[in-house]
Amino acid sequence: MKPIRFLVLLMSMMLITCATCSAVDVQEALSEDIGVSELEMSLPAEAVNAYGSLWLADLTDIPDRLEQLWIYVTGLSHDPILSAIRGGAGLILTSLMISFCLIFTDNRSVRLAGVAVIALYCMRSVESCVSVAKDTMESLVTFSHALLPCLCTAAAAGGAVTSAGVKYAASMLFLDGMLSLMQTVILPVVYAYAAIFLAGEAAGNGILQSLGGLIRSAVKWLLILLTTVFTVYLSVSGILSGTVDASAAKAAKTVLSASLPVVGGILSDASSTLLSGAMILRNGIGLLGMLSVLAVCAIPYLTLGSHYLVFQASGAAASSFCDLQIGGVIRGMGNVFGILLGMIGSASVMLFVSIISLMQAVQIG
Amino acid sequence: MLGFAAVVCVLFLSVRLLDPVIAFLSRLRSADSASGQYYSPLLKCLAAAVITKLGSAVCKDAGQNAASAVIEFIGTLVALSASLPLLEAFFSMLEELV
Repeated sequence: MKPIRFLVLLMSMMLITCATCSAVDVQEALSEDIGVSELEMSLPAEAVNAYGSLWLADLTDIPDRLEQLWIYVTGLSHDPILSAIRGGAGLILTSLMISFCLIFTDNRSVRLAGVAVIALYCMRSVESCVSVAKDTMESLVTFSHALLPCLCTAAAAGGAVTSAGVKYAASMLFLDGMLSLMQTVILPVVYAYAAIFLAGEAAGNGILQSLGGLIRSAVKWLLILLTTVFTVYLSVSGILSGTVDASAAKAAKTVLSASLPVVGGILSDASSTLLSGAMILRNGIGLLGMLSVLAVCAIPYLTLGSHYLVFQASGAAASSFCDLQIGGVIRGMGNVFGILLGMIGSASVMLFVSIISLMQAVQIG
Repeated sequence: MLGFAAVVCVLFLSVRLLDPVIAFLSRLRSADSASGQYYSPLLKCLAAAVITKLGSAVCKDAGQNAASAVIEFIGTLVALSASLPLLEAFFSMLEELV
């Protein structure tokens, strides 16, 4: 009787201690933990308009998505390009009128009135483009607040605990810094550049004109410096922290599989599966982020770029048939679009670099 | 006096030549309604400058240098007052920028 009793006792204990065990979809579980659905809900309006719905599960066909983006951009490109061309045509007509006036007389008040007309005409386009740049920057920073934590969590779940944290902190610091820099420094400086440049042109003062040029160069170099420092910092910190992550993960796997003879190997394999799932998820989130950033930036790039090119061309044309001074005013005001384009370009490049950097966070095999 | 009479005659005869020019300027103005509002002060400036130049030259021909200087001064004042709305808008825009 004794062995039977022992057997019954053993089986009862096994039944009591047995936990429910079932297969779990790793990616689905991770998606819930990381908050992918919240990210999908907080996509910028431009991304929703471009792609319809952008779910992580549907991101398998990238060429289709790019085609959707192309259709979106070509559909909306008509208005900004037409507005830029209209602006350029208006400037050429105004320059023609001024040149007509200058044929009859070289009176200084006519020249001053001409500069004033051109400046007033240009400022309307500048103001509309400044608001486009402002909206785009805010949209990029708001989206980065939703995207980067999610991407960072996915990268950390994929084993890049230290590097993801470092990169996330740097990205948020630089992007938030860029937004506040834009609102407090760059936009006032853009207006100051326009004011000083126009005052210099109206008064025919070479010092003011040079000061305007200096301000423009300073903003350009500031943007280049910020982007370079950010990229270098992200690369160097990524290399250092990535090595730490890779060695930590390798050591953990080795210890696990070596210390527990059979179960350790199974656990090590399971952890590899989990890491691979997290990496796939991380890449998907990164891709979703890149597609969204492209959708946000495409139309502002087109608007500012077309205005810049049209104003430069109009300036060159006005210099040839009208007056060098009038052409110079148009080209100088066109440079404002160049500064705004550089600002949006720097912010989007920073966001792109941080996404790619988090996507390339340590590969643990 | 003869010179002055000749100038007046030539001006009178050449007024017709101004018709296509005025038509062209009107077309320019209507082609771009957005900047059309700025053209009027510019045209007034132009008219003031042309009249001043002619008047001043006639006075100089007659040996009236003081009158010529006064006409030039008044012409400048007229051109300035004609372009004043434009300059006011320009300077208030500069103030807003700064």
